[in-house]
Amino acid sequence: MIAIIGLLVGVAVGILWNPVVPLWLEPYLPIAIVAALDAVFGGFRALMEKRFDDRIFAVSFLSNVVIASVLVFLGDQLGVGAQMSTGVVVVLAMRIFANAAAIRRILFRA
Amino acid sequence: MIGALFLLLGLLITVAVIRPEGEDDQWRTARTEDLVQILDDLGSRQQRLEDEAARLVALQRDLETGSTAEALAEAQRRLEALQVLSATTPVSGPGLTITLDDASGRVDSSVLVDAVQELRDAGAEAIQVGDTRVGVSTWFSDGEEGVTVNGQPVGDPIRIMAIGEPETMSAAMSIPGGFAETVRTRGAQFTATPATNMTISVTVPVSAP
Repeated sequence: MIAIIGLLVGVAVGILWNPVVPLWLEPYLPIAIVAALDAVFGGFRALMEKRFDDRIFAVSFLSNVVIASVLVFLGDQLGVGAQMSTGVVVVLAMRIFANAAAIRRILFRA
Repeated sequence: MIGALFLLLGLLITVAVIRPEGEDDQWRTARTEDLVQILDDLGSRQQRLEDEAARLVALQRDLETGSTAEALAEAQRRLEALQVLSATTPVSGPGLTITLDDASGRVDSSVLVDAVQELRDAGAEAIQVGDTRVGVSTWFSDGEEGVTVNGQPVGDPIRIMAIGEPETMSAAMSIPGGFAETVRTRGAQFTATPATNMTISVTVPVSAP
């Protein structure tokens, strides 16, 4: 419940405040979102499996975002930024699908 | 804690979704190396256009200050170029003669259209298929007695002559999956003979506009 409220407040703040993202941060924004979504799906799966722990969720959320951004930053420095961000997005998307499949199995037994 | 994280996520998503509505979002989302590539392309394009502009300005100056002889020479040069393009004049020079021995009759008009396209791409100035010069309105079709060009039977073996760089054209013909291979998979013999000097004397008749 608190999660949904947080999400809605975040969206509202984003719309009302409409912050200007610094230019150097822009390439990492989509990566950070996908990484965070991965953590969210992982957390939801843990919730379904009744082993959710908010400390683990918080750590995985933040570390996912940081690691994904650092990887892309490193890729940019090495000159393979585009490939690296594609790779990170592909891997994270695969994990999201895997987690979604697990959630679906528990929710619908299908 | 969880609420704060989700707030952050919502904020991120909102910012990312709203952001592309800016006026120059095409460039905002591009990466540095892509932008460098685009800049390079624009730079070389500008260079080409500047060269072209300089050439045309020089030509204009020549035409304005020069005698009528220079203007005539330029007009003559353009006339010759246009005559070659419109296939209304005989052309001679280095070229390639292609012979297709199509015993099984499986070479159809689309194959010949491909051949003409590939020869043109390879820089052929003038092309003759069978006894017909290929111009802007030449057509190929499949008749009862084989392929026809402008309604004329193309004959057997099919002979294609092209004026242009022989090496470039024969390379274009023999690329994997190219014309030579297509012809061979259809059971015809493909032979290409380069010549240092040959003449295509057939022309497209000029009709009054």
